Amino acid sequence: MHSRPDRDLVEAVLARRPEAFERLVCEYQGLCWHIVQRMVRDPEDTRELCQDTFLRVYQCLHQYRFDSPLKSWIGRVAYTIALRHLERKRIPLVEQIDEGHDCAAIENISDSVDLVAAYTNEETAKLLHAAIELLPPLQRMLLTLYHLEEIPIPEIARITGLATGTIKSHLFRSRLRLRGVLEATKGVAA
Amino acid sequence: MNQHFNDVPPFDDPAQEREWLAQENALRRERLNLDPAGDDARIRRYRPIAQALNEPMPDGLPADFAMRVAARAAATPAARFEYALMIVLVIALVVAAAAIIVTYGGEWTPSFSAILAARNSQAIVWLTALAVCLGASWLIERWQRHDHR
Repeated sequence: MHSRPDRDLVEAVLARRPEAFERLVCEYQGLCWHIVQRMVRDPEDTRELCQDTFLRVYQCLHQYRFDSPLKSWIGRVAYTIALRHLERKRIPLVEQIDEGHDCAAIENISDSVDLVAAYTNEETAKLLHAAIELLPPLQRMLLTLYHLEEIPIPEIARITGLATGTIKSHLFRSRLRLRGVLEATKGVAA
Repeated sequence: MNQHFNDVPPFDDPAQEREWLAQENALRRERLNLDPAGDDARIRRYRPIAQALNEPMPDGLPADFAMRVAARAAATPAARFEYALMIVLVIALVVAAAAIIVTYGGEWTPSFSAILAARNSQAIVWLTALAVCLGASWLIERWQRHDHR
């Protein structure tokens, strides 16, 4: 389940070797940023929570049992910290799902607008990024882990503690919703 | 593609599963940078979304973030303080236990001798159960560590 570099790095940090922890932070700060920023959004809060994440990692690394990749373990710490922050601020993690809307969107296939060509337009790209920002925190974060970090669904399940089917469902509905936004803007009834 | 299909259950609704596969194919084709002209209509609708989601996010962490966090972690007294406190508490506990045994041990000896002499006493049964529990916990922990190596 773990790679040799993971084990070497963890052992170096636990042995308090100079610069080992800095190397670990460098290695995983991008992942941490993606998880926390996508959930929390506020840059100042995100920076603070990323720091809290790594301080927690430093304190609890001796509890890591190599039963999952280090990336997933650190991702889990970041996710838990971001989740608590949202709970404290009473920000909902997900929103109610409208099944009927999904079905209608799936059935609606139209070639009247070329979305691929439309995306070359900078305005359309901005619109799509704005639509991503409007997704609920959990869905934003799942999309980023899956697309940008290229983490497979079973590993995302380890990070979030969600069932693989639930993650798949969130990814599916988010992408369907983004397609709807794009088509609505470009003149296709979604 | 980063999907482990065997680990992820399919949707009950075939239409949803078909749409999901279109989304996944759009993601895969975008990563491979394949010409959208070769996509079918359903996949083509998800190419712009895959493209947008694949775009890197600006990193908002300062350039010296890792160095600063590492310095702060090394300087934080919490971990060292907790460890030192634990050692002090263990030593205090051992000293207190030794003092109590030395002071009152003589009064307890007859009671323990009586319990151990009575082979079918409840105390023996509970002590055996405790020993079995401790042994089982130890064995399970050993087995788990061995399994994770």
